[in-house]
Amino acid sequence: MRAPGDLVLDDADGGEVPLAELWANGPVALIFLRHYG
Amino acid sequence: MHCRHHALQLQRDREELRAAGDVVLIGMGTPAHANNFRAETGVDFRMLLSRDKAAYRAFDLKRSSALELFTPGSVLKGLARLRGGGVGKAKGGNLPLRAPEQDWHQLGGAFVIAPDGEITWAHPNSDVADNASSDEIIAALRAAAGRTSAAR
Repeated sequence: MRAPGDLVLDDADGGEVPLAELWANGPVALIFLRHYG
Repeated sequence: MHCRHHALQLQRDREELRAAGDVVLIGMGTPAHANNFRAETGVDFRMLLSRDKAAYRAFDLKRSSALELFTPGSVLKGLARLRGGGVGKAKGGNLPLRAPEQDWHQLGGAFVIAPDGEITWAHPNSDVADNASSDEIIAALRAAAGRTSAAR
């Protein structure tokens, strides 16, 4: 199954990051948090 | 509480994790929420935000009812994690410091993606306490790296 690389997320400084950039140079683990509580 | 415990676990194991691959945390909410979370847990992994939860939907992560979220097993794990559970405590303790400002029915999960864009490992959480272990994530990152080398 392919990851949705066309998504764009925000970084903590307000910038935008295309998801596909995250694995362009090597494997990446994406950890989805439930909330910050 | 479980999110804070998971962040502390990842931070404790950061050297082994980073040796195996890159790790990125994805959360909901605002940059201020994310920065507070980082300050309270000390987690220094890159953190990105999916404020509209589009990424959660794209990775097919479940939204569950309260009964599904808080299983007997997750409650027992929660009690152990309040005491630190082998990873220590966040600033202010491991109890939630405030009511969740994000969608608390939304479950998290962990995925490893190879450089060709294939999801090579998936751990969608089944309840609030069902976080992937560092060992599982490290093994999945190493397997994805091996897959990449074999393809060259």
